[in-house]
Amino acid sequence: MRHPNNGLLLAYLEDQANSRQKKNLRIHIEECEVCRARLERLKDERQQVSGALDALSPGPLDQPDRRRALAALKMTVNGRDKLTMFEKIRTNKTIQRVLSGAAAVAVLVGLFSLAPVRAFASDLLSLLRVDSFTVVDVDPERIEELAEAMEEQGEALFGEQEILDDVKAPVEVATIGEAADMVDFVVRKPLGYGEPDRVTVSDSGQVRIRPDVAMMREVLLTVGLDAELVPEEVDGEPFDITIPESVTMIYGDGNPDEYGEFSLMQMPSPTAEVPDGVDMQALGEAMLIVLGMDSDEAARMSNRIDWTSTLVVPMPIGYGSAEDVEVDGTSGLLLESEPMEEGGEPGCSLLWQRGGILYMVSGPANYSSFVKVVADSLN
Amino acid sequence: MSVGEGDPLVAISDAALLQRFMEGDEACFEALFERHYDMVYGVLFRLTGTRAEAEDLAQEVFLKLYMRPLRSAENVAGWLYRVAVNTGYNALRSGNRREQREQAAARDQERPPTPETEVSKVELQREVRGALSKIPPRAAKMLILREMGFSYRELADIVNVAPGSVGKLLARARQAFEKAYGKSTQGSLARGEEDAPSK
Repeated sequence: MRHPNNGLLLAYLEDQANSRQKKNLRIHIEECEVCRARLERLKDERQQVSGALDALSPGPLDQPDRRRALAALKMTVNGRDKLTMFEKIRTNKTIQRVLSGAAAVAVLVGLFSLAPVRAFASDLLSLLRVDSFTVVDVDPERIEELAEAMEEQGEALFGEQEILDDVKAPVEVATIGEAADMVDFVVRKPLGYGEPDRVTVSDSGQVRIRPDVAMMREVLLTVGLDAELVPEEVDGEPFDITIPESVTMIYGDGNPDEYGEFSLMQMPSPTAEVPDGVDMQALGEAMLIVLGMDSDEAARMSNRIDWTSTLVVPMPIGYGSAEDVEVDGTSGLLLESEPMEEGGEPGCSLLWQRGGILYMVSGPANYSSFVKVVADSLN
Repeated sequence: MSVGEGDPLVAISDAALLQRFMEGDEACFEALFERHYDMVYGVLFRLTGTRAEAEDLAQEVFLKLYMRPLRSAENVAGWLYRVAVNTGYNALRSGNRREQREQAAARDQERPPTPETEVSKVELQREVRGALSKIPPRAAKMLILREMGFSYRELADIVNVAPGSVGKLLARARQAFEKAYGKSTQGSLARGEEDAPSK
């Protein structure tokens, strides 16, 4: 056996090596004076560090008090009723469950912390293969009304949701090269920013949503809209949304001063399969009205949108702005957003599609020119 | 569904508890809380140094679990300790909690007067935390978690690295810590060591 590295020796010392490794290491250490000395040094080092860290352990007066902590937590949870509608929506686990599968779509939009907006954007408006974007202004008050009405409905908000292919938690990898080996598309990197601090790879996922028209109509009626806006034909029909694998690189993590904190996400365009016979234009138009647009404007807007390839980004009025920009040799969408809820962070994102791959660079607020420079530097 | 007598929650896996909680059984959330609170608090106390702040942050962590739609297949313990150690580490590094910490320390000082030995312990803790804040974030998190008895496998899951590289990363983390700590105490702890000898 060659000299084991420090990691393996340490695993041996701390009884964390597997049985085969243990056996080999025991034999090697018995025979090798050098490694015996190294093991001793590791032991010393461990003792010293452990001795120092031990000073941080809670003393007798600082032991945890579970019962008191649980009581405090319950009070906080109950007190949350006084918080905003958005918070209430978040704490409703039924709604969370319905939305969770589609949440990956919201990564595209990034800045939408508001669940109902996300739901509309991802479940109903993002269709077929995304290759362009458009922004529609939506009325924040309408969103809040809808959120309230939906919460009252409780169960099965948009109907049945079935996870066809579950997405596992993103995996952190050491290098861009490692990420590139794990995915089926060419991974690009911004030039001149060094190596990213973190690289993560997310696998693909697929969710099937079967809308419950009766439920959705009830929500519309509650907020005073025409129930017929949701067409009967979509009832129970499968809408399959596929989110492909993606790679995210984070720069300036924990050290934003160097050249700012930003992230780059790239993935093949997500797709959605819509059942035959669904009139996408009519459905899109209805959704625009639901989101607060008047019917004439919705009709005009809907005519302009190719619903089979456009990701519609709802932008609550007063909470952000959007601008078409030239980026990476194509056109993209630059979004500046204000948080709609307490504790949210303002930010900016640049979204574009090239060669079937969707890219998003995100950074803090007022970094729009910076994210554009980053985007244009991709190799 | 509710968990009644004869169905002791202690025997139920984290994943099953979470699933039942998602279905509306609050008792299952409490069982998860009972099971993991002490360790979450322990991580946070080590990183913040005050009872009040550790309690506040532990509450934040569990509140996130309460509000977050975890998938039942997800490793609940791994998620909890990841959030705890990230939250604690951010608090350690962030200056904006200093004031809170001072207030909390003042609250803690409503106890009997601190003897001299305690004062030197506080100083020691300050130095150890100072050293932790100077080494790479992942290294600091791994040291704290390992010190609390988490296995290499658990560590790999919490800090999201390959299980096979935990030993190497820990060895490096200890060296980095010794260096930073040695500098701050002007002691003789700092020592570099190369990895496996070439022959």
